[in-house]
Amino acid sequence: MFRYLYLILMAIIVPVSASALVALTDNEMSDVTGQTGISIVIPDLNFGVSMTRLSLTDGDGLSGYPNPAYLVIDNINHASFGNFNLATKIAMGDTVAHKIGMDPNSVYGTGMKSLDIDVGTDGDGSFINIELPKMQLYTGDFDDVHIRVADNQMGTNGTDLAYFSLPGLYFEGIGGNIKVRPDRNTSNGGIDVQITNTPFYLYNTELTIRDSDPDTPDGQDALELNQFYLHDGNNNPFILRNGHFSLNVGRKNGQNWLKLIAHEWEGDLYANLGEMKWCGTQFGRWEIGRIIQHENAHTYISGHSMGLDMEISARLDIENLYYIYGTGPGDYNNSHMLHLAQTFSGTESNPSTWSFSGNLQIGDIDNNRPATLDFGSDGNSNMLALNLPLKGCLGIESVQLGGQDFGPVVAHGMDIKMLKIYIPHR
Amino acid sequence: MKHWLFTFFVVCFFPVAALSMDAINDHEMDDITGATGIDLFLAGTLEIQISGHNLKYGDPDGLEGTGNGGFLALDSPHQTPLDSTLSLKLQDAKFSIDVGTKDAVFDSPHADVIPFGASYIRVDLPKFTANVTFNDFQLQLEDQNGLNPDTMCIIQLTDLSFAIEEIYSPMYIFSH
Repeated sequence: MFRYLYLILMAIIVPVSASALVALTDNEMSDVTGQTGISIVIPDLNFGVSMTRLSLTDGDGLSGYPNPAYLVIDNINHASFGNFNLATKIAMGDTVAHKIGMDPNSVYGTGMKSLDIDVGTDGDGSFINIELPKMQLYTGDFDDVHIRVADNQMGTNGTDLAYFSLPGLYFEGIGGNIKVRPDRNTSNGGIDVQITNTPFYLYNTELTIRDSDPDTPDGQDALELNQFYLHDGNNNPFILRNGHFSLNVGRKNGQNWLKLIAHEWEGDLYANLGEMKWCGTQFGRWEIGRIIQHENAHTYISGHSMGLDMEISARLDIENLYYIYGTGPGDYNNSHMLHLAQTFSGTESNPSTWSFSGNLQIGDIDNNRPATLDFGSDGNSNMLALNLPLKGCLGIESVQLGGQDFGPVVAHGMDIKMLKIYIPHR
Repeated sequence: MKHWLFTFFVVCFFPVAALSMDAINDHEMDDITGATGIDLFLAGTLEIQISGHNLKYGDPDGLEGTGNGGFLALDSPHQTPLDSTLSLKLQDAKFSIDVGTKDAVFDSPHADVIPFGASYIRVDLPKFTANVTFNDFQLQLEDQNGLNPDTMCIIQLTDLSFAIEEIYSPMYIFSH
């Protein structure tokens, strides 16, 4: 009897079942769980960024006038800069779609979308994959910020160039995809970003640039650019179908450079400016598009002791550039089929023969003629100083003034080695 | 002997322990543990400070992959470097963390997107303020050895702060 009991107890204790367990491989585990990344539902929140002053120092001033100078942006406290609202469940009552006369439900849909993050590998290597959420981000107060050039960081003894206000700036994203990986072109260092099928609105309620002279009456001292927005030509969100960018840092021609390349940019981009006012008087509105940016635009940025060196290189086509100044059928000017490029060929008077290639360049670092930005003082006046060497061509297939067609315009072979612009205070 | 062996095998393969097992659902689990999440209250002030005066982003192979790499650097321009400090301040803060499985329609519209049957972590974030004491920073580009800087400007920010002022909904994290 005891032998039976002994056997039964042994049989219960011996872990026979456990010997049947086999560890799962990662692939098998993936099949079981189906989980390959994480999703985050971002909360709606209100956040504020505040500062009293932003100061940029140019220690060697202007060419010929090496006095240190300071670009000061202040009065920011008064503006309570940056009350931002982030909403992932887009409230249909206050959207860009509302502001431009679209049905919000048809634009945004009623559901929401999480932020999804994965890590994957394809033929170009490993990457981080980000599926964007729906998102509404807008500024609150941003009013009467001062731009000043001064001879010290505190901004005292300075002279105001202008005041500006930018309340009601909206960004609304409706999903999309971003892939981030090491730069595919250089393979070791640098960042490569690809954005695909990403719809978004950018809308600005009001931008006011105001004279800093206190004697000028309010409303008579400002340029107002209101109701500016980007869209797809039908007032739906602009969709960046394929945007491929890379960022590198390196040395070229004895100087260190930050280089941003837009390898690809595909999308039907239109921009509207609903209202332009000058000293309180209505000056009409603008409709621009379709804007086509060709591949391999780039920007180089560096420093020269103090101050910025730059080269901006891009080829653009703009199908229509309308300035509408009245309500009559001919109350508009239009530049139809505008081209900005490096070289032109064809017969000037016959746009059907035109052909453009290469990028228009502002600044030319290969020939040691970068575009520059400095601020400083010549002893009498504080100022911003720009030098914008330019190389390329401009063609407009049809210039329409007051509704009348004045024919084509082309300027090619431009090579402006120096174009200095000084913006002093008054 | 055969009886013994037969008895031995029968007992081995008879899942006596498993017979007593019975799956319980989340609600039953709640009843047993009484726990539906964790609240962390911070009475008083917690302040975290991070200081530094040199931040660099390096690119080893440079612009065209030729090996002429470089750095984008934020550095103190002073002979004796001055640190900038990020202070994160939490005052009388409350975090809430819950773990659950979606088995019903939530009252929170933000949980629409969680699939039925998926497990999730729900986090209620606290409000907080982050202040930055920002001493001068020189924005510059350097060569691959961190030398020969090309300076763009010196940046000074005064009284910079960042605050989460209101939070209207919780955050959910789940796997897909």
